Amino acid sequence: MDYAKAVEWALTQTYSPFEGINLPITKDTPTELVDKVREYFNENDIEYDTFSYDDLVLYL
Amino acid sequence: MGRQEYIDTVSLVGRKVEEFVAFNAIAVADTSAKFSTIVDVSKYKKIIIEYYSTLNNATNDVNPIMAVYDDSYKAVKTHSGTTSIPLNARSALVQITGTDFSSLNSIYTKIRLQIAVGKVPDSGSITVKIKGVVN
Repeated sequence: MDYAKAVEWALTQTYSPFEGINLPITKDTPTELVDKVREYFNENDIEYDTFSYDDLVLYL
Repeated sequence: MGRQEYIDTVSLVGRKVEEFVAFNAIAVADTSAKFSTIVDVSKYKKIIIEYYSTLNNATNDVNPIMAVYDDSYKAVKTHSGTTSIPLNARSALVQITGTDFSSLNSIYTKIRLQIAVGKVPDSGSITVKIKGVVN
């Protein structure tokens, strides 16, 4: 499982807390970062086990 | 959400309120129960448990639940007699206030939280925080 690539991609993405507002995903947005990493795994057919933000800190 | 204190396990967010992140944005990918570490709640006069969930499954309801245990894995009953609380809200911050666990920290000095899901989510994560008001 390639956490590093997934995190690198996630950090180029944005999230929308309110309609019409897009904010960058950073190390300080743990939920959005984890959700995007999961999205990366899903879209690239990468199998993964349960993980958390704490597992990603190493790659930030 | 999205504040620096998620990086630290414990963070003081005010003079009289302390926050402990029991589950830090967990991307749940199985149905096994997950336990937090043990939290010493003896110095708090009030506890609030908050969660923020984006867990989702395109075809099934995920049905996440939370339970509170003491430090010897004995489940704590809520005032209504159940041992679990449904965490069904999606993309929402929900406070579980004193209605269920108002006397929790007068009985238990140490607790741990458990979360589990009925169906495996295919996206999202869940964060659970314990906020304690210091005596």
